[in-house]
Amino acid sequence: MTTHTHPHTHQHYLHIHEHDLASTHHHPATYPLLSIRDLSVRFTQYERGLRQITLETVSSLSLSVDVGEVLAVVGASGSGKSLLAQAILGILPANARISGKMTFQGQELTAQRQQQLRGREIAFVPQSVDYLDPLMKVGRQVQGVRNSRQQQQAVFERYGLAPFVAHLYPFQLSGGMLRRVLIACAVIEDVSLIIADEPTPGLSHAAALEVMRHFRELADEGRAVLIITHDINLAFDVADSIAVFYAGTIFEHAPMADFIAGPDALRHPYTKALYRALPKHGFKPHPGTQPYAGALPAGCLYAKRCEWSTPECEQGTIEMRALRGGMVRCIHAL
Amino acid sequence: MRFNVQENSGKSDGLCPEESRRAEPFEPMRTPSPVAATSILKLVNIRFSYRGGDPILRDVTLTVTSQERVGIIGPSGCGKSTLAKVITGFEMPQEGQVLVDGQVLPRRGFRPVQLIYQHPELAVNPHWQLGKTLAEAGDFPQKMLNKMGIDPAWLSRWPNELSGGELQRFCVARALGAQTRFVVADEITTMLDVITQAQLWEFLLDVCNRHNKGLIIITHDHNLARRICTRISHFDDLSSATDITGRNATAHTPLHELRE
Ligand code: SF4
Repeated sequence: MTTHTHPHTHQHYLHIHEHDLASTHHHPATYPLLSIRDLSVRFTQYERGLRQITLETVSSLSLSVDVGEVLAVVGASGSGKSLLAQAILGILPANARISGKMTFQGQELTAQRQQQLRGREIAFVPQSVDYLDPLMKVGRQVQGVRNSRQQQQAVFERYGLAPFVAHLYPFQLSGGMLRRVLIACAVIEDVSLIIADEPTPGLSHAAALEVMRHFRELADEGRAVLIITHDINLAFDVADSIAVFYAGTIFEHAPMADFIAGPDALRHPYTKALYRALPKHGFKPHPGTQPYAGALPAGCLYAKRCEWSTPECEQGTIEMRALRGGMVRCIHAL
Repeated sequence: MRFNVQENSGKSDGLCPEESRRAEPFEPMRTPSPVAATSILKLVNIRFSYRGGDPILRDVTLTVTSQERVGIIGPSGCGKSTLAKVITGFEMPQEGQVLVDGQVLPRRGFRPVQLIYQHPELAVNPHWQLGKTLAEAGDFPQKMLNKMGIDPAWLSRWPNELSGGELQRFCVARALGAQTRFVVADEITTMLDVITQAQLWEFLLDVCNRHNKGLIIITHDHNLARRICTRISHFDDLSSATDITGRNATAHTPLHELRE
């Protein structure tokens, strides 16, 4: 195992504290690198019979990540997590409507800034290898237009890609090598934020862990890393904090130590149920299902399944708030 | 031999000894109780390749009884999903046989060995409301649907209106008809959140236990396999496996190594 300063330092508690305060402009020096407040992404669709409906696929999502940290956003596949990555990078489909506030290095992340920063300050590691050009040798793809041959060779060496690999086409590489090429593409520039969307599909646990450790290293060198994944076990191995994604929003953002400590340390009833449902912690199924993006209830998205639910829960928006060194979107969490 | 077979502690709760000692509460899995007669699934010297390519499966032999829950663990690309298709009769091997109680799999009609896939959205007809998909597979009592967490309103929905976890409930229910003797579950909960995963397994294990249906669980998740399987087969490359039955297994990999 590579050595790294693993998770549980006090500093990480502080970062999670701050993300609620990011919009208050009192202490510019303490802004986290990336802060997202109340992000919503909506799509307008035509249903059968041409009735127009609006799908809210991301709703009032808040989170933050700072340099030196690995943040894992964990949630079921198909629940809209990828849209979060696309929203930060500014590559959402044209029919998406976005609201809320994102800041990067303390300044608002406008569409124009996203375009300037993409690839230079903010890098993307996609889930799909379709992001590679099948007809271009991988060495040239990694080098890109702004970097030198030496830089390409250095980054290949770093990720254990032999020099001859530069002359191969994507289809000639194994799944694990392709993953490393995608990371190499992202980090050849000295970026400060890396967004990785399901970066380990189809890899064995050992190979996936290897990829995750590369992300850990990149964070330890002073970058911020945001990993979107459905696999909470992978998050356990390298992340400093986990943000729990549910039906298009974040219910809880907590330091890794709390996920290790168990349900009492966690805040949101869903996160507690999630912990108890893990095969290694009881495998206890909590009843109910996530609401469908076209039929989100008013108030708390968890109210139907929640054992703590009261009438207030179903009225108005439930705000994300700071609690015990983490963030939670629940009015009754203690 | 590049695989190892591990009897999963032999305890009815399906936990490894190390986990059983831990103080935390868990709900023990019920032991299989024979209701229907016990069936035996046998794969005999299976050899399979796609269109004259290199063999994906070579000399694979496997025996599972309907009282077992056998886990097959390995990375993707090692031939597990091909094995699942061969066991369930969706692909015909070039050599060898798949036998259920001594009979070759029927060519048409109901399949006694049912396959559940990782991607339910690809396994249901997108142009049918879900009630029709379910009705095609047989009669399902309301009680069963309730236990499965299938909301009656979903029966009139279209597949693209439900999440993967909701659709997978239909696929699981549909595979559990009265004639089913074995179920092959190919990474069926990999893409779901852990609560949905626990819900689906609770139901599937319960039905299989009560109605004496055997389970072959293909997964890359060791924690899951250790939780639910009575026996685990671990391999890197099926094409070089000669026997994954466990009957003759001599090499027992310690569980802590299996977890690496
Ligand atoms: S806000 Fe209410 S319904 Fe929502 S999680 Fe908290 S207690 Fe449960």
